Order: sequence, then structure tokens, then C-alpha cells
Amino acid sequence: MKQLRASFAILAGLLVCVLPLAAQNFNIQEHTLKNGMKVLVQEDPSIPNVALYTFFRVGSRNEHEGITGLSHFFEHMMFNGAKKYGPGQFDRAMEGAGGNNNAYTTNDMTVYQDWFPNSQLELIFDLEADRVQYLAFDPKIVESERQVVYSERRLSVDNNNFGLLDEQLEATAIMAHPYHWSVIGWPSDIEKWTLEDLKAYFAKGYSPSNATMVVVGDVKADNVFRLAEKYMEPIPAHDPPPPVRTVEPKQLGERRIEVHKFAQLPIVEIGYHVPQAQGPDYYTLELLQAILTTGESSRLYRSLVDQQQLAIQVQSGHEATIDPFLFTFTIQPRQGIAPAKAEQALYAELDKLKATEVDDHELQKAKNQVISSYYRALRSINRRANVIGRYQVLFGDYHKLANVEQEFNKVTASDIQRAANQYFDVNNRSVATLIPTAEARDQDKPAEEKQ
Amino acid sequence: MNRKIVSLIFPAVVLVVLSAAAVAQNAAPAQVFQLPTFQRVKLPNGLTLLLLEKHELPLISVELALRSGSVTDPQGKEGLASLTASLLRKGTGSRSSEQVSSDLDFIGMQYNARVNQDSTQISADFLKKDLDSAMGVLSDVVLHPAFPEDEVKKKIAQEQDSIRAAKDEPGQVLQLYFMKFLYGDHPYGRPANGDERSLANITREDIANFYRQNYTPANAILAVAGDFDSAAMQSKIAQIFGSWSGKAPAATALPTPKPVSGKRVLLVDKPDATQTYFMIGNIGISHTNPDRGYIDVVNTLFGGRFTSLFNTELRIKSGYSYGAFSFFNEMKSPGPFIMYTFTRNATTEPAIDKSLEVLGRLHKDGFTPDELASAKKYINGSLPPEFETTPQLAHTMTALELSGISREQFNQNLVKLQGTTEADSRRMIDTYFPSQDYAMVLIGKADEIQKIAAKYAPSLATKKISDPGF
Repeated sequence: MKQLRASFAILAGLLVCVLPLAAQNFNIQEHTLKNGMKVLVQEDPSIPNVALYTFFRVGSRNEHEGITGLSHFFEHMMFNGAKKYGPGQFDRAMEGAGGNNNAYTTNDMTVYQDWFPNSQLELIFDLEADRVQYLAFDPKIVESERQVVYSERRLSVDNNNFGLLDEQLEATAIMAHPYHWSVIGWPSDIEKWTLEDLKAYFAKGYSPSNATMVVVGDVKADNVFRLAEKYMEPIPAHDPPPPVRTVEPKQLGERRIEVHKFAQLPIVEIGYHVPQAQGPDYYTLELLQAILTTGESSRLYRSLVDQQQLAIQVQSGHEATIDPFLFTFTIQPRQGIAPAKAEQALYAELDKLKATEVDDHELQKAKNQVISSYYRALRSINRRANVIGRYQVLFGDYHKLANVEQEFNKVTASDIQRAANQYFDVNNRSVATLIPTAEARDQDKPAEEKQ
Repeated sequence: MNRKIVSLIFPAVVLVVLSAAAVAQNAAPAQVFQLPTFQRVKLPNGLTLLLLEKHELPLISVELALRSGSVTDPQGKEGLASLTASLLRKGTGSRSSEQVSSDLDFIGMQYNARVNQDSTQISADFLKKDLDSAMGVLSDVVLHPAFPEDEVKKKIAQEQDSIRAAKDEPGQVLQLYFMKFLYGDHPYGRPANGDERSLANITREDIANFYRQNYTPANAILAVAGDFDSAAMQSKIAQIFGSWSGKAPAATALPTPKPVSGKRVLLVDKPDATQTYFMIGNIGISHTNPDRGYIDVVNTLFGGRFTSLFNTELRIKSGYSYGAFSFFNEMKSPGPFIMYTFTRNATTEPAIDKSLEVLGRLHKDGFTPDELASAKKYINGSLPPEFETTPQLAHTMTALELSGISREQFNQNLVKLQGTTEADSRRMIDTYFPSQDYAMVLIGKADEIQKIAAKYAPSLATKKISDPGF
């Protein structure tokens, strides 16, 4: 919605190389409310606006069979009415005050985002406190919102080949841990969640003690803390969600699946198990990603897209997660190229990385890229609020933000080689291939437009 | 998974905020957002230079724009402007394609070249300390591209496949079909990035010619925003780009597009679709339309934000869709007005009915002063984050210059829209939101929705998604 007005949407800004920004930018003030909610504030008067993000440490990893996707559905329900602000009033009040909002759910957390003029700070606290304390569940709205979420699933998974293949790959690579299912949830669960499921979920995940609020912008920290005490502190704390016990067992051999579907072009997605954000090698894996797929000088772009012309694009995915997850590669082969051929070409590049250390220049390039992209994420108050909260929730402590550059700079060429050997192993690999069905191949017929 | 759609991939550039103003009635109230000052200089070779200093972070963003876009493409060679822009980095007189990539990746520079109907934009974003190497690569690709034959062939084949791949996702191509169907033979009806067939007709010579004619300083605007001293930057730019020469090309004739009169419907069959994606609309406004600010207020309420009339009916009340929006693409000649949403196959009919009903309701009810006040606040509150970073500011400066709108006019318009009255709103609705005349394009499963689609016009046009072109 909001980006319809944000017409000067920008693909990216960025900072580059070793930039001593950390010290000047992370002047964050912290206050923990009596109910356990942590409030982090960074004062930045550069624009007269505020970004207020609330991170709940609850996501699809806290679900189980039968309620997959419920975290995300719940995220939607948080906008549908509480006590003081009834159905529709949350959005009307916020937009009418010059504010805007969104929210997102991941495997690990649910994040609520408010953006607004600084004069509206107290209103936003009032709105947030109302829904966190008194969320209401109208059965009619639940049914309508269920359809909205199903439409979102159709948009991002069922009618999106990348989304569809990704869901299938994750379900193949991860057998036991809740990362097995996608954040949006299985269709049959979307159809059958109950009001009771929602209520139980609210009671489980939405304790203030399970939340971190991050406020960045033209505010005074003292004022934010005072408002947090007034509005958020009265909300009673309760137990956080039970720990996720299941640990994904070690994969014992390659797993391969196929998806046959009407499509113009095939897709190959490959996933390797890798450690969590707070485990070993997070920063090494980020650098591996840069070496392999960031920019047109990256190894996989140069080999698969440019030199051999096997693919339109090749990308990799590596996320910061609470539990071990996947490092993925996605290849979209060129028309007429067998997916297996593009896949083998990718392995050939991984093998080179395993056999020989990267040289200093290539490693420095990768470091410049990741550090610049990290600073790029700090450029606006919105993105900075997001990064601060993610570090608190996923890395356990926002103070670690100050060390990001150092962490990248510590990684050596031998770390890269060792990690490539350790993780990019055939027995640790799952492969999903989308194979276009036969009727997709009639694209040389002339277009006919019947008027 | 987001609550709302975060990035819609629309091929055409959506220029919404740049509003031309007649004369503002009053001085700006202190709280109305105003774009900061910047410097405008014309170099002796005709290059327009725009400079905005912003010193919070040691960053610099550059955007170089040309007043030539895809409307310049010859008939049958759609995609020429776009190919030319994307090939700039694929080798210069002194650097191979791989060398260009290595050089810009090594400093972590962000580089982008894109083309829309009216213009070409090449952007770069880098750290202040890398100014010399960044401007070195940027000026090299802009001033000395070699267009090696093998790179041309490779890029054409890749772009053809990219179009095929895009057709696997209806949201990526719906607007291309819509523009073609709405504009017909008008240059805006032709796809800015070409199609599977037109790209095959383009030769290296076409590209070199296009470059020679259009990449000239008199046709270019260079905007720089960030951490620098304007005087020093100006002399640096003069030094780097001063020897660039060439006249502006003759402007491409751009007829005024004819709005659709009556009802026209196109169905694009995608046999695996479980959801129907559709757009309804007509010819909208140009980027200098004096009513743009008022239209912005009205469209915000109609389909431009979450609580809009359109989204309320299609998402909040009915659950038909994850999102429903309307927008005006403001272009040099009038761009389209579009209502866009999607819904599962089984609710295609009620969702279309509801969309048309909402349009009818807009005419019947209009908006109250309270609603107008809410939209004005919403617009004003969303502005500062849209002009927060240096890439945003560099882009804003080139967009203003391309539209021929001064900063003062831009700011006056932001003040003017705050004065939108009920009568203004009524006039906007009557003039710019036609409810009886429309073009409608649907991408979906014809087996299930063809009969439904046929209800909305005297005759139904059809295509298959696998057919080349749009």
C-alpha cells in the first residue's frame, strides 16, 4: 500500500569499505519495563519522523502441525480491533495522523512497524498498548482475514514459482525442526485455524517480556521511556512460549525432489544446512555469499550467467536465524539449458572454492561488499530500527552491532575454504527442480488477438 | 510474509509525488514538508548539473538521466533504449566488461541503469572516499562504452529469457499487457524492455546509433547528492564531463493518447493460475498536470493507502484479496490511471463487480472534509521518509528536471494540495476517475473465468501467456 506514494522508491543506498560509523551511530539508550519489555531508543532528528518497531520473539518455529502459518495469521489479526480502537480503527487513526504501518513474520519473530510524524508519538503508544493488551477476535473478521491470508499465499507461493519451489525445498531439507514448513503455512491449516487457536497463541507469544521495542527518530529517549511506562508497563507479563525442543538431525545423504508445473522456464534450488546466527561461521557464510553471488564480478554470475550462459540469474540465500537453517542457491536456467547442466556448473564453482583459497583481492572485495551493505541498512530511520531489533532478537544483543565490521574483518581465506568444504558437501545437500510441463513449450506460436 | 505488499514489481516507473503547481495561494504553513534547496548549474557543453549537499554520512549518490526513453525505440525494435543502457557496463574503450564489474564491486559501489518510456537513468552510490574511482567507472561507462558484439548478443538472449521468466509471475507482466491494451499504437503501448521478438531485431549498429544520438550532454542531467562541497564537485564534474559533446536529439513526437471510450476487456490465459490478477483503468494525467496535488489527495482516499475505499471493500470487508490499490503513473504525455487487485478464481466475478461498484460509489458519495483532512495529513506525514537518503534526493532532482518542475513549484504544490476542498475533490472525481469507460486486463485461468470476463465488455479479446509479446 504505502509504496504507492513512495514513488521515489529507491533500490539502494550504501556505504562502502571500512567506515567508522558504528561509534557515531549506535548511541542507543535502553530501558527495561517492570513487565520485562525492553525499550531501545536512538535519537536522530534528521527528519521529523519516527520509526517504532515492536519485535515479538515468536514465529513459525513456535508452531506445530495443524497450526502452521498461525504466527503470520495472527500478525494480520493484530490490526483487526481491540478494546479502545475497534475493527478498522487502528489503521484509520494512524493514517489520519499522518502515520503508516506494516508488519512481517519470519521463522523466528513477528515484527510490527509504525512510521509517523514525531508529534504523534503518544497516539502510537496508545494504539500499540491497546492491541497488545486487549486484542479482540471477531469470528466474522477471522473468516474474512483467513481469505486475505490465503490470497497472500496464492500470490507468494502458489502462483510464484520461486516461492513454491522454496517451500518444497525447505520441507525436503528440514525433516524434523519446525523450519520444515513455510511461514505462510500449509493450505489445509490456513483453511482450518480456529478462534481458540488464535486465543491460545496470543496468550503464548504476546507477553511484553517476549518483546523488544525499538524507537528511532526525532524523539527524546526520556520521553519515549515515560510513555512506555505509562502505556506498556501496565500490561501483565506471562510465560514466554515453551522452548523449541526439536533439533534437526544430521542429513545423511543428498535429497532430490521435482516439481512439475506449467512454466516458461525451469528453476533449480539447492540447500545446504548451516548454523544459526549465534553459531559459528555466520560472518564467514555472509562472505561466501558475496564471493559467490554478489555483483556481476561474483564467481557464480561470471561462470553461469556470463561466461557459460547457462542461466538468466543465480542467487544465494543466507539468513540470520535462531536455529540452524539453510544456505540456498537458486538458478534460473536459460531456455533450452538442462537444469542438471546448470546445477553441475554450480558445483564446479563450489569445488574450486573448496580446493583453493581465495586471494586477498577477492576476499577484500567481498568484505567491502558486505560491510557496505550492512551500513546501507542503517541509512534511514526505518531500516536502522529494523537492524537494531534484529540484532537484539536474533543475535541476542544489539551491542553486537558495534562489532560487525570487526567480525567481517577477522575472517580469513582459510576460514572461507574450510567453511566451503564443511557445508557445501553432497551429503548435506537437498535439490529441488521445477520442471516446466509440456504444454508450456508452445511459445513460438504467433500471438492472436481476437477483438 | 508481510501484512501488506511491500514491493510490487511494476515495470513502468511510478512517478506520483512530483506535482506541478499553478501558483500557490498561501505561504507554506510551517508544518508542510518542503524539499531542501539544491543548486542548478548549466555547463558550457549543455549538461545540467544539480547539486545537493547532505553531510550526515560520508556518502555520495549520483544519478545521470537522459531525456530519451523507450518511446524513442523504432517500431519493431522495442527495447533498444533499454538494451543500450544495460550494455553500457559491458565493456568500454579501456575496460573489459569483467573489469568494469570488478572495479565497481571492489568499492562496493551500487550501479543501476534503467529505462522507462520517457527517460533513461543511470545511478551510482558510493562512499565519499571512493569518489575518484567511482566517478572514473561511471564516466567511463557513460562516455566510452564499446558495445562489444558478443556482449550485445548475450544480453539480447538473456533479456528474451527474462521476459519469458517474468511471464511465470502474473504480477510482473500484468501492467505490460495493460499498457499495450490501453494505449494500442501510442508509443506508451510498447514495452519499454522490448519483447521476445522485438529484441531479436536489434543489432549492435542500432545500439551504437542510439547511443550516439541520445547520450549527449545537452540531453543529460547529472544530479549529485551527499557529502561534498558544491564548488569542488562542480569543478570535478566539469573536468570529467566537460569534454563530452553533442547536441540534444530531436524530440520524439508524442501524440496525446486517446482515452478508451466504452468498455474493452482482454483476458490473458495462464492455465495454471489459481488466482485472477486484473487491472481496470484509463488514460490518466501527465507529470505537469496542474491538478496533480488534488488528485493525489483523492486517490489516497480512493485506492492509495490501506484504509482506502478500494482496499476496504476488496480486502478488509470481503477478504477477496490480499490488496487492492489504485494509482496514477504520471508521465510526459498522460500516463495511465490503474486500479489493481487479484483474487482466487472462484471470486473473480464478485471481485470485479465490487471494484466497479467502488468506482461508482466514488462518484455517488465523494469524500467528506474529514476524509480529505485525513488524506492530507497522511500525505504530509509520509513525505520526509521519501526524501531522507541521498539516492532518493538524487533521483528526485533528476525527476523534477525531467518534468520541467522547479523546486519552488514542487514545494508550492505540496502546500496547494493541503488546500484541497470538497469542490476540488468532486471535480477530480468527475474529471479523472471515469467509471463508465475503461480498459480491463485479466491474467488468469481462461477455463474458469472466460465467461465471466466476457460479461464486462461487448466483445472479449484473448491471448495466451505463452504467446510472445504482450
